[in-house]
Amino acid sequence: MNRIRFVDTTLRDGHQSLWALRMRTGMMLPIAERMDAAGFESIELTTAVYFRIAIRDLKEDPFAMIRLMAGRITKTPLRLIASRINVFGYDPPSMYRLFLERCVANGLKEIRISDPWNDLEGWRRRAALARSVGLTPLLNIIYSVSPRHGDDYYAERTRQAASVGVFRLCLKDPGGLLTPERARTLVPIVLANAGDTPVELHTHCTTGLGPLVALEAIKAGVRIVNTGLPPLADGSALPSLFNVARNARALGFEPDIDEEVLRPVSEHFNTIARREGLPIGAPVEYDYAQYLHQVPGGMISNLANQLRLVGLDHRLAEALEETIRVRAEWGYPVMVTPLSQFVGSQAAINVILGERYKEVTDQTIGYALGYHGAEGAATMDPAVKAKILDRPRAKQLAALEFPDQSVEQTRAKLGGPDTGDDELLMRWFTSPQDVAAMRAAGPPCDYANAVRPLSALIDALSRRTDCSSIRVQKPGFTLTLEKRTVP
Amino acid sequence: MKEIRFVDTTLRDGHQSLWAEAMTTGMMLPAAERLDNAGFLAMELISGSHVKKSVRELGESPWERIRLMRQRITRTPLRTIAGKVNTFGYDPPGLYRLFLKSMADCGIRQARILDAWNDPEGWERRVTIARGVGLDVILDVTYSVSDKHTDEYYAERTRAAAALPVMRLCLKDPGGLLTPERVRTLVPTMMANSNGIPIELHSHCTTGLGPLNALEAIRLGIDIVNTAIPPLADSSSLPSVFNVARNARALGYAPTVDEDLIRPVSEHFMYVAKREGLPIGVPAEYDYAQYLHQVPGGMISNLGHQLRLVGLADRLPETLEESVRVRAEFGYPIMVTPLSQFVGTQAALNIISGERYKLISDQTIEYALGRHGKEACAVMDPDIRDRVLGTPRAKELARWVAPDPSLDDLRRIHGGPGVPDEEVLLRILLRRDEISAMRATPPTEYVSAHQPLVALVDALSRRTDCSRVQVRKSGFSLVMEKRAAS
Repeated sequence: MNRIRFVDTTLRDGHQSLWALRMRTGMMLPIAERMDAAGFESIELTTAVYFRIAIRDLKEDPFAMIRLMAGRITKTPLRLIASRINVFGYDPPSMYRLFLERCVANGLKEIRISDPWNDLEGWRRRAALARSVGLTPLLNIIYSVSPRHGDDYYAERTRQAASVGVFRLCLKDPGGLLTPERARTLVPIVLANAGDTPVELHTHCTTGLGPLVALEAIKAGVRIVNTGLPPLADGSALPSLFNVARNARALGFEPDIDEEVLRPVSEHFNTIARREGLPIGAPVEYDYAQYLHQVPGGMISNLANQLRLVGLDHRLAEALEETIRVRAEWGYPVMVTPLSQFVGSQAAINVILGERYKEVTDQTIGYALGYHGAEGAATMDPAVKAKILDRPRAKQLAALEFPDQSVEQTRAKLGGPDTGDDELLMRWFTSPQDVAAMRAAGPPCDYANAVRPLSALIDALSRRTDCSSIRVQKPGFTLTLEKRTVP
Repeated sequence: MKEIRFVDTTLRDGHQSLWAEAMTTGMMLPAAERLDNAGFLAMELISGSHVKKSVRELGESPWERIRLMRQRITRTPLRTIAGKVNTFGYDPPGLYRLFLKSMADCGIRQARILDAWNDPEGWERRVTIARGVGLDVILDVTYSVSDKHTDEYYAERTRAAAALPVMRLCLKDPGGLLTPERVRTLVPTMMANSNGIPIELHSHCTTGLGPLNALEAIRLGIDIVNTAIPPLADSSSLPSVFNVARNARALGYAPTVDEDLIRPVSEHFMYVAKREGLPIGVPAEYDYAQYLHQVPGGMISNLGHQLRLVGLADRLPETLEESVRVRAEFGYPIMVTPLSQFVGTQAALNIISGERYKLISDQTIEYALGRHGKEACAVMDPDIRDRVLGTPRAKELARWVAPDPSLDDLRRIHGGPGVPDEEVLLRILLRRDEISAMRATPPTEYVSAHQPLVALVDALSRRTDCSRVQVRKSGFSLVMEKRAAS
């Protein structure tokens, strides 16, 4: 079997990695039908983090986005990436369930699920919940580099993931840490232990190796690859579909995708990137240091910022070294959100105060208490754990209970019985005021672009401030545009 | 900690790969002293192809370039690349000698020498000439991919190269075809057979793997790496010095180059690139097809152009496949200039005429005659060779006897009393009117960001949307006005 299938990540991970989730609904709509016709196995559409940004920053209804896209993408399953809603805080189960239900009701079909510890219990719980609301789950096996994350670890975790009985697994490499060499040993182990369950590859290009890793995985037997469309490929996003398909073809495989249908999609997003000044993904230089600290790029700039605030920006290198040490003491958590943030923040505090663990964050305490995975508390260095928990704040947090407030209780607080589920969720994600402001901004409209040359021309001309009258004339045709004050 | 040293290629291979050799002497001069202080082991400055290009298209004397740079670069040896002088034509030994002697007279101290076949005889002839004019020699062992180019092949050629009186060897990968995996067997093989002679690595980034190859080679014991300074690094050029140095440091090595000194050089060339609209090197996407046809990027665009001229633009993929076949029939020559061009041109003729070897280029005949390396006679497919040499044109070309003028003959024919060698060489390679046109304009230093005031005045004077600019602060006033010259 030589056919290679693709999952598109442009509309979710692509702009999450490169445009900070700033793609507007109107930018997606003009290319939806082409995307649907290209032959993707699945299309990633959205993630929980997007909801807050859509409402607050884009002033757009995220559920409307899902509905509008599902109205145009009818053949290809649309996918949700949401293992939790509140990335750093407590996640009431009732609201997570309602969120999943409403995603299904508005048109999503699949959910790709992570547990930051690759923990069987966490997978089971989330997969069962997804199934009960009608979503088809895939489980991520997250790749990491540490003495703990050897071949035996991945053999065991893959067997456990396959035992959950989902339709597919996904080898997920959020930090772009896989190398072709590691892929050559790891992929056969994952495939052998996955049994009959197919395995997707989802590897980022952060260290420049994504396209090579994809090819190596294909050679080793992976048949479904996650890719992005330029300009939302490469950089810290996923490999370019065009690159992987071309190279796979040169290697004798048959990519099951219509690249010609997708080229205008790429042009569409290029036009937008240029016009809006948004980043254009490009292959990055190989950066070995990534393998040492494994701190995601977004977090490095964040750490630098924290240090700058206290006048210690020259100590970034030291803070990165400290993250290596903290991570080891914490039992080598996978450097994925939120765990990577906990490690990084504690490392910054250790460097800023000049004494290790003199002050600790609430998240550090929560981690030591097992709130962010039992494995974390179990594998932590006992001396470090004792030092973290030996303080009054730790006793307080240990005594804390997390009530699961019911949906109706939340509804009563945020608007009353007449508030619909979508509205309730959006208010809960942000605030009633934020949702009202979003509604006031009006519904999304298609982004005018090169696919419609005339409307793009008129749009561009009307933005010019250096002329007030424009006339286009040819035999039998005259177009006049004039700027006037509205009477 | 083990030290890693660097040879800079920015001023030669960097702009040869990315700017079609368009860097002028004036653009180089402002960067010269910083480059000299940065701690490079050597700096590539020029090659045979730059000589013609600089006279004809830049209107600059290549000799003046070397002399001016030599005045400012006093600590770091300057290097020439010495493959052929006439890239596609016949290169008598006297001409090669004249070329290297002129280089040495102007201040070049090292020659990196190439034979397109890794032919020990060709190497020896060139090494002897280079040493005879006082140059230190670095000898290229050129990497290629074919059934023939195995570890055994490289073990044997490395031993042959190391038997010559050279300062260093260089593993040269012009097509960027090395992979980290291949480096893992090739580099130890070469190191085991080099008789203790140090080996440099010179690997291009055409398939995106240059930086990885450099690291892998360093891990295996190579401690001299050829790099370039952005924007003249990456793409089809060499890896960025900043990237290799940073990664080597993360791996626990000690790069002996002062990156902070070079950063302004990088900014300078970035400024030049932006202002002149010249390409900016960026990491390339991995392209597996390169390994199949091995046709260099510049040649692909050339083939495309040839096909377009005869209305066959759509048959480029077929031509690339045909070049794979022709290369096999030619006995797997290394796909390096000029051999790669011979293969590509014959492949294009085969496609255009619709019948293989119906039309045969003169270079294909000369190749079959062994004029571009004797190894070709032995390794070429015998049926193809018979067919090529059976043509009337082949009989004609076979009768041609290569002239072998000595250096003195060349001086007598092209020079005369009082004409310096460097002028003799220009007269051989170029027309007189081209040389005199070049003489009319001496190089001037490029106005750059290092001279902020000059750069400001220059930029302001180019503006067409204002005719008067005034800059004022307490005690200072600058007024620029555009007026018709009176």
